[in-house]
Amino acid sequence: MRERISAIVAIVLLLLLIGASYFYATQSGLKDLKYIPGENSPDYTAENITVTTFGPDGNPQRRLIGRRMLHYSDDRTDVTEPELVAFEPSKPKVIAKARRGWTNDGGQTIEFEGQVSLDRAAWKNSAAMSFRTTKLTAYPDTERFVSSVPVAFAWGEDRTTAGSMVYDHARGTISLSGNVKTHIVRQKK
Amino acid sequence: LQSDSSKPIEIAADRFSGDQVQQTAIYTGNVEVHQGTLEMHGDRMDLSVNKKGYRTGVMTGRQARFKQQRDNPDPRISEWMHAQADKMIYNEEKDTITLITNARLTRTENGVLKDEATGQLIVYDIRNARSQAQGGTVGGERQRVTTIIAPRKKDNESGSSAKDTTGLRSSDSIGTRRKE
Repeated sequence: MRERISAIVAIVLLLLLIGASYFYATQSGLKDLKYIPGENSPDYTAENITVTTFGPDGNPQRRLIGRRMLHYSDDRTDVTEPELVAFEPSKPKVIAKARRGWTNDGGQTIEFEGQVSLDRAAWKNSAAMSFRTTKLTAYPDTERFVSSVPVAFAWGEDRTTAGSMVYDHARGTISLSGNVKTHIVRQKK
Repeated sequence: LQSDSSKPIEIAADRFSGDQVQQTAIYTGNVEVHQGTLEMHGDRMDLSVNKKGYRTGVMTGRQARFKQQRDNPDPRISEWMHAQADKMIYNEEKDTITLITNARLTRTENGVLKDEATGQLIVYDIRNARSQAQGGTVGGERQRVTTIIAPRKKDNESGSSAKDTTGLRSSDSIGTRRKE
């Protein structure tokens, strides 16, 4: 009789143990366990990248080149030494460069920071143009480049400084404001 | 001064807008232009470049103003040309300033007003220091040109030779060349 009671107690204890294990197994949900990168740790990186965007006609429209790209889980992308090149057959080529760039919306706006240069090649009777500043926001889809910090602008031999700028590459217009100063080299007679 | 034309042009304003297709540059808000002793002030200036690379600046304002020192053989005399008009056109290639509407051109020596011309259109040739004034019509009425020439002193008094004629003459069309 004593052995029988011991056996029953042992079986009950084992059943309890199995039940508890099963309970914990269902709670933990092993299938939910995955690597969730922290906000500051990328989910993928790439070195020496070239990303080319094609227009509806199949021709390359824009190219983003960078030494290093880090992508984060919140869709933020950082690029080291970014170079954004916009080329369309009907317009002069324009190149934006900086020490660092990033986008938070899949490239709809690209922020450039640190020794920012924006250069547009000479075109028909318009001399080459260049902007130098420290911060610039590029809107690739509308081909606009905006900065709200001091900028140096060169158009041919004329040099202008101002407090902020908007360059609309689609329409070919430049707007500078805030203490605008232009230095024009005199035409030799 | 004749040396002004070799100096760079400095422009200051509140805003600038440029158009690479039209090849124009528009300055607005407290516009100032400096080139040596030449100075222009106004509310807006439209700057364009011709095929040879020379610039034309159209300055408008309430009123646009211009001044420039003139070369004077007598170092004791500081001679200046002043101009104001509703609209001014500075032509870099021809070195002329065209004053349009309510135009007034004056010449001063050491700050004293010597000559004055008013009219609806005055063209001042900077290089040759000559000017041409036209009355024009305002509200259908023919306007006359008014020119006031200060009396010339004798040789020894003013130090400038009697033959030294001013750039301004009282006639509808002043076209004779000034003797250097």
